[in-house]
Amino acid sequence: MTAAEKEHRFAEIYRDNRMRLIRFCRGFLGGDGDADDLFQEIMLQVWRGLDGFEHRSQASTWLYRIAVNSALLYRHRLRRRGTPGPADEELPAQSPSPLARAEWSEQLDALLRAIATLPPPDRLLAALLLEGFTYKEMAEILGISTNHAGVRVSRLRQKLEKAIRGKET
Amino acid sequence: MNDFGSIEAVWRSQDGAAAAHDAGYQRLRQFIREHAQAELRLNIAKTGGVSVLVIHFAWAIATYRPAPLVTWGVSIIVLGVAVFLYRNWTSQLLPRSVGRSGPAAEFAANAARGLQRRHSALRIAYAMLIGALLTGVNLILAEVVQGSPDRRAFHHSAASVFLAAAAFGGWTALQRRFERTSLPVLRDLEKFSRSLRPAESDS
Repeated sequence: MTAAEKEHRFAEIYRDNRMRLIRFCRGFLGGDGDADDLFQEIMLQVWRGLDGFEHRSQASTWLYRIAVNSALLYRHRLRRRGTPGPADEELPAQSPSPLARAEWSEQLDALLRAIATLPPPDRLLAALLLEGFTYKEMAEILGISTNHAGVRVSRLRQKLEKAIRGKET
Repeated sequence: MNDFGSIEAVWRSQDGAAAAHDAGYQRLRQFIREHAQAELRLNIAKTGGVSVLVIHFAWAIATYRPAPLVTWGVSIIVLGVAVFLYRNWTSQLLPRSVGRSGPAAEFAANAARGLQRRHSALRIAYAMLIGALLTGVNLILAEVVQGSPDRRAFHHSAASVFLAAAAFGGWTALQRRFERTSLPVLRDLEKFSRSLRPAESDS
């Protein structure tokens, strides 16, 4: 791949996946202000890995594998620095930034709060589920069986629906 | 709102909130360029620093032509320190090739194993460093106090006590650093990897 081809491919990936990845970052981080940092980190890893992408898997699977793994490393880096990142256990819901709060709907706020209370693997799964990935794709991204992805997603749906319904009543 | 499709719709309603990111591509490319330049500078500094040390060491040996035992002693110490420093650098890195890594469960398990392996390698490098220091210092002392058995015994004992204290202190510091920085990450990665495995009730 020439430098120009790489630049072109990278720009395409950015254009086509920017919003999905930003939502993914927000979902994983619970709506706090670090989503932009994580997004940059993911795109840096995409840039580094672009030369080695051999089209053995779908481009979106490859991209989200990078996103998930980068999110894991990002979380560890936050913890090593002593910044509280998304924890393993149930979290008190993190608030979105004031700007985001003004723009996001109440329902979205409730959804993000519900996701923020999940443990990290479920949070990743929730972000993938809400982006419309199939069980098979989720299984490929996370490295689990399709059946297991199905079981987890089914439980997760119930949890999210219950959480949101709880906010409404 | 009970239907999951409407939850997905709410999730995707974030599009409008991040319209500012349309202008972010150039900023992102700038970030990647700066990152690459910083990495290059760091590598140049590391390589340059090691090269200067090696050249200085070779120059000192060639200029002063010390006795063979001293030359051997200093060479062994320099080699021990170099191996330790190299291992120390590499032990601080988590997997860098995220873009070529496998799915999350495999990645987390590999990263945890990698951290553990690097810590073990660092301990071996540290044991080698102490061995190199002990051998090197003894060779130098053997040359310095040649022909005087009493002084030799005294110097050897003093060197052994000093090295034992340094070894103990260094070993403790190494272990503490691992426990403070890498161990929580390692446990976290293992926990993450475990939590993706199917529970018995799933099958």
